[in-house]
Amino acid sequence: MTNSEDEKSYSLVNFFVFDTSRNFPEDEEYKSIVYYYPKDTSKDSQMKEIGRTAAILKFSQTFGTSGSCHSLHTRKTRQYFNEPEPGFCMAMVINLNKIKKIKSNKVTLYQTVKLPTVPIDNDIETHDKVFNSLLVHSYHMFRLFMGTMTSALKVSDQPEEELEQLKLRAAYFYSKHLQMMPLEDADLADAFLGIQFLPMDKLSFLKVRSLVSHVEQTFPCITSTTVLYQDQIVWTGLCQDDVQLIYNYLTTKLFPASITLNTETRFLTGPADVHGLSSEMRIPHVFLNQSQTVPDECQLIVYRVAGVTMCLFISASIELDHEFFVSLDLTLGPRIVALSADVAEQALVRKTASSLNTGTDSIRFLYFNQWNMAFKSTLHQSIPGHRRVLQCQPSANNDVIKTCADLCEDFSSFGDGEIVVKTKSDAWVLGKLSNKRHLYVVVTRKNAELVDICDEVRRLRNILFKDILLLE
Amino acid sequence: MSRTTIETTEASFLLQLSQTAIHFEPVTKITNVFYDEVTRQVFTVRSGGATGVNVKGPRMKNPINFRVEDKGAVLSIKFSPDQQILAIQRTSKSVEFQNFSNQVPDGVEYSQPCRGSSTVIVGFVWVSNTDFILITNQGIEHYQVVPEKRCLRAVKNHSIQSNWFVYCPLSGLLLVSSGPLGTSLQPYLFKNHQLLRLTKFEVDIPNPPQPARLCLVERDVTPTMLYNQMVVLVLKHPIKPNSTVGRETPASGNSEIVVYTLCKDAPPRKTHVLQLETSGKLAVSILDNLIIVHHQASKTSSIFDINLTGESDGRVMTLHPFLASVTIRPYFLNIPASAAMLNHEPSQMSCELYSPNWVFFQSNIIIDALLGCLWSLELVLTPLIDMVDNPCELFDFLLQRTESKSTVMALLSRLMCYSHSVGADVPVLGRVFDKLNEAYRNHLDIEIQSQIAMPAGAFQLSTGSSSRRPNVVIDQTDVYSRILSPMTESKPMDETHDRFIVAVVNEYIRSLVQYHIPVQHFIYEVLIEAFARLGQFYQLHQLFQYHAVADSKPLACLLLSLESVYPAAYQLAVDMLKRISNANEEIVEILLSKNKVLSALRFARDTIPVESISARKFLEAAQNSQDPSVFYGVYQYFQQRNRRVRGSLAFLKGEHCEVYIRHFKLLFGDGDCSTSLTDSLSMG
Repeated sequence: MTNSEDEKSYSLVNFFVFDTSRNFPEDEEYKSIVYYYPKDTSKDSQMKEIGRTAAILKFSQTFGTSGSCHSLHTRKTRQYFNEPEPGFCMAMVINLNKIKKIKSNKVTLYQTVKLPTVPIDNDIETHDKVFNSLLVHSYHMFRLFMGTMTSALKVSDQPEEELEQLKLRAAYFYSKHLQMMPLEDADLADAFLGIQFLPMDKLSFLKVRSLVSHVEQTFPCITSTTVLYQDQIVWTGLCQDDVQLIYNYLTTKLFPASITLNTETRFLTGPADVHGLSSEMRIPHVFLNQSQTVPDECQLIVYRVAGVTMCLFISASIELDHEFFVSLDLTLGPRIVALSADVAEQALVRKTASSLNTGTDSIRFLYFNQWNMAFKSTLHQSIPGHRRVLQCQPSANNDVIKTCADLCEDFSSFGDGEIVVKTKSDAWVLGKLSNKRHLYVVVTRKNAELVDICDEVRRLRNILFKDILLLE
Repeated sequence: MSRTTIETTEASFLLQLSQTAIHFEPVTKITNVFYDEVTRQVFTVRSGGATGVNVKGPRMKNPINFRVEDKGAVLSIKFSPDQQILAIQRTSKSVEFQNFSNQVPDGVEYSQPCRGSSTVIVGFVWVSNTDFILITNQGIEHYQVVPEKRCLRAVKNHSIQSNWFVYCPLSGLLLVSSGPLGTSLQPYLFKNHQLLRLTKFEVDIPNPPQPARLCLVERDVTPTMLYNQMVVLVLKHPIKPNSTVGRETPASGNSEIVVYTLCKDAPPRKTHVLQLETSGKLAVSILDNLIIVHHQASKTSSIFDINLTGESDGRVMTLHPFLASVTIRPYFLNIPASAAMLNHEPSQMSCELYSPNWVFFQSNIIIDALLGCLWSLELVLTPLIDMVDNPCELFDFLLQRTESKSTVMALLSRLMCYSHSVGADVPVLGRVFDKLNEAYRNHLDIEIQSQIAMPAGAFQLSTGSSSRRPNVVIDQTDVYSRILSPMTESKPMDETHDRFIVAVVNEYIRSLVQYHIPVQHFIYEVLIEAFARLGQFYQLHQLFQYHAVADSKPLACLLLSLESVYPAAYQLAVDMLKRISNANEEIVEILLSKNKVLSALRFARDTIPVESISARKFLEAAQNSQDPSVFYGVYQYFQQRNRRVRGSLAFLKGEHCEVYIRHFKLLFGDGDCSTSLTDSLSMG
């Protein structure tokens, strides 16, 4: 972790959700607040913030070309807005600290391709894309576990009563979620929110598929199955949007939380002890397929043996008794154990192979494919059960990943292309977008010329990306 | 191994007698009947041959009729395999021969006595058209018959005290019993006109009788070939309970068959024990590499397959019947019309099965000497389709049979239909596919080997028992046309059914991949279409991501067609084309159709020989893009190319670029390109 205390650059000032469609009497407007952090803020201040946010949004709409305002920059803060559902608005305000410290990381740009100049945002780079993603993601996670905000409304004459249930849910969810929000070390990876797929050969993959078919056939109540090995996805039956969230939940919350569990525990969610009869159940409910008019409420069973995790989604209407878990354990256990040896071997082979390919620390990359959410990064180091950590030379850390984020924002404005820049810390960053595939390559080599960098990148592409079409 | 019993309903007879029985004159006081296992001929000898000898057999088109002089009762009579020489034994001291031409004896007999004065002939056998073996109580005499000279030339003599012998014409194995108990078996192998002595072996009898007497008899020993292996089956009866020192009496008191396997360079080895679960009068038939044991008292048969797995102690495999209590389909004899008229009875008469008058001969011949009928026993596989309770073992069984393909296919499609009710679950299907594909793999290997055209010797060596040419090959076309295609057509399409199709095809592909068999694109298409019907495109995507689908142009095209419903399919398609070595032109076309002219040009530059890039195609696309800078770039590129390749900026006539040259002039004029570019860019 490179962010020591004195480098802490951002802090959350406030975070709130409020209702915009109901009319409350003038002196009772605070009732429209669904959730407000920090909790101990006075009603007055709360009202002020909300009023201001509502005003900004309203104001920006008059210029509105497409939708409303997403962020507001002030000298000391950044404010982010999101209207997740009609009639609801959420916002967060971030404080920019230690400006001087950050100042030194200013980048210079070296452009090879026709480019609009990247705006060097006064003194500090915050990336709207990254923080906006955090805000939007916080809503998506809420929706995953609590359902939509609208679904929590109660039919009542009193607007206050209508919102009552929603307020409880928001308080329950966000009080925990905000603690875990990776504000300080959020980077481009948080904006992508990609999925790491386990590289493996097709036979092992087909064997996993065969196991999934078997399980789903044996237990027809299972509507969908997702398989992971350690922190990487092998197979998922979910739609893309859902698996992105579930993957994030598993790798950042459930898996880290279960590190302390007894290794004998196979059900990470479900009965704590499958052999004891009186054991308690702990099964989270999730709302899947949000694109449908009525999302599917499912129970999430997470079963793990020998590093292989199976996530089983079962409709909430089905009551799961103890026997179900026992027979699930009996069916799955032996097959997974047999499979895991295969998979583990694969994982090991690939790991050594890939480290041979990429070789030194001097060349690292970050890859994200928007079409299938596949994410891969050697800029980060992933430790199972922990949040990924950047692994460049500490001095270049922020510099490099922020440059990547800059390039990403450029791409979003002008589409496919390739940009090469040199950062102040003497690292070269090549960004590339081709048919929704992002590739950022960082080369840190003393006195390297642009030609060398291009050669390096070409070599890397020929090794790692030889199977896909990345256009020049 | 579980034992499976089939109920005897009309359609469920696994065994039947051949429809066309061979009728011969039944045994009477003056008529003797002989059967020769080598030529499969029945000899009916009336009055010592004076009133006629009639020869019939399943391999003969027409019976042979002739007369021989009556020189006393005939003890044995056999033709040489080509029916040119007839051997008749009338005394225990000599055998007489007669030459035949056109199925007519020439009437001159010549005789061969056995050696030694005290020698008695036990029997004789024709091992080739001219090689003749005489087995006496003193030894084995091998003769070469010289029909032209009407004499026999002694080749070799093996000295052995013999009780009886059995001969297997399939392998050329002659087995001679010796010793006071008859349990010492001496095998000889006839090969290349030579009789080789192999290693002798003992059949262990738990309680040898005191004093010693013959306790292993001829009819309990069957030499035969199973799966290209020479084996000797020895039927062992339970020890009589009145045996005084019955300490080793088997608890069950059932008979068993011990299988001795003869290896090339090692002594015969006890390899299998078949548990009969019955005792009494038993007979053995060999049919399609199966051992069929008939039990007279219960009128049932049991079927064993030594290639199925049983309980092994490391050396000896103990097998239970794969099919027990099987019965032979009732057989009806046609009664001659006159007899039927007289008795006012139906013209057909049901024939007693497992009759005490039945005599079983190798390998699958049944003779009823009183009725005067000879049948061959036949196996009927179709009733097995109903035995879906243990599909894996059943497939093991069926795949070893000849002529079982239709049954295998029927069973397979049955499994697919049964999925909902009976529950042929995915792992079982997987194992079944593995079995099919193992045979498929062997078949492909043999095909490849035959194409390489190895010398015959090397080929023989490389085909061990594991890569024996499979009897049944179910290839991908079979599975597609008979199983998958009907599955996707017949049923009303619901989600469960599609999910099942996905599971089945996935399992099939998994198995093919496991056996390193290249999967053909129509198999993938079934999978892709099922995923598409389910709307599970992201799942489909993962399949491609792991390269679980082999690259091919047809599949890339299928993916492109899915782009409208699943945009990411476009990415998958071009990635796939990139991996196919000769699809660069297609990628260029796709990029051009997406109006990515410059990307297409860069790609073409890197992958296609520069002189063969079609300038017209790119210029047309660039013009259509409505972007002057794109057109400018493309035009400039081709001009430069022309200069490099041909030394001149000009386009060739054959390139048909006149219209674009005019367009360029229209946009940028003739003169200084750069200024006109800026002009036109500022305009555009």
